[in-house]
Amino acid sequence: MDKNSLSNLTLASFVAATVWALAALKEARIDVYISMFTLEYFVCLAVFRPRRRFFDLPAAALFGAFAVIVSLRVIEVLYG
Amino acid sequence: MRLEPQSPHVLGYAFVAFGAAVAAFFWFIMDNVPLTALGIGMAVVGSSLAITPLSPVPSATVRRMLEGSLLNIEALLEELGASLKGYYVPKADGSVQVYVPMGKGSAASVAGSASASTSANSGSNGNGNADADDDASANANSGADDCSNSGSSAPPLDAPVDGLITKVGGMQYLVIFPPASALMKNLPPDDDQAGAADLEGAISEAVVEEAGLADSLRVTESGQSVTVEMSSPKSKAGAGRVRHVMGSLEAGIAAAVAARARGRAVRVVSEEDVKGRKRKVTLALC
Repeated sequence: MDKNSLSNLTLASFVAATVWALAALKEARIDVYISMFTLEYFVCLAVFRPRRRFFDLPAAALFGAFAVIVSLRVIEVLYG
Repeated sequence: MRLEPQSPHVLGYAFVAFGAAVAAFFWFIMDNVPLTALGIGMAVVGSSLAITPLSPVPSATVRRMLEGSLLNIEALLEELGASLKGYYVPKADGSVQVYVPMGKGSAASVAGSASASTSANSGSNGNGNADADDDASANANSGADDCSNSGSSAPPLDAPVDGLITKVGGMQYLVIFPPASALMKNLPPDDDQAGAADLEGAISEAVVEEAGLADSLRVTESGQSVTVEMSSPKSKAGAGRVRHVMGSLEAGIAAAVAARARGRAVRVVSEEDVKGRKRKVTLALC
């Protein structure tokens, strides 16, 4: 199996395991799920280095969402 | 059922659409966070599937084609008796050519078979004395200067190509288009800053991604020397004279990429198989 397919398979496994585990823990914050998806996506990117046909839009979108989540948390901490 | 080549991309787009629909449904209507996250996860996996490229030509096929291209070069080098290490010289059009010095050990008929534009004066080069002692040539190549070959030096970047054998600075060179020459066209256009910065990325792109000749590699530079450590080299081609003159297939591609990236002639100084699954290639920037 080439590394591109392995990367996608690993990502799918991570996502499924994450949703299952956090749902079992009755996690109700959507930002936790998104943060975990972002982490898993970039881990797969770093480990497998899959090729991309063009600009990595999922990576950019996940990073942007993660940045927004972190910003909201910081604002919540600073301003209550 | 026969799968079309683009089916993974179609599947990816389907996952994105379905995941988005599931996420929207469970977020806005059902107010269920875990299932919303599942929809988002499906969209992420689907988008990754959609932007993953397919390989229209399997790596194994590309590898065999590159190995086959070396057979003609082997025959040519054998016929002409070329035994000195060649120089990978980048050209203005982005390609890379190998200039093999036709010094001692080359066939006596080289001067006669040279093109009309080359000079007939071969006395200074000693080409008339055919000496088929490859060991002597090899010993001459192991001199202190990695860029010298029994008195010859790397040809200039604007060295002309006047047929199969060209004369530059009083020295005759056999000009060969290496297998990597065509791969150079797949690399992005020359960019002085980008090309100079990421030599490892460029070599990895050519050797690992494009040609599938190794699982991974690492590049270290030290002065005028570049060391490439490849993990699990896959090509078994490039034995005998080709390997001595141009290096193995993997080393040749690395040398061509390095020549183009650095804008200088490159020579394969040595290759060493370490522990059976790693190969250490030393290149010299001339």
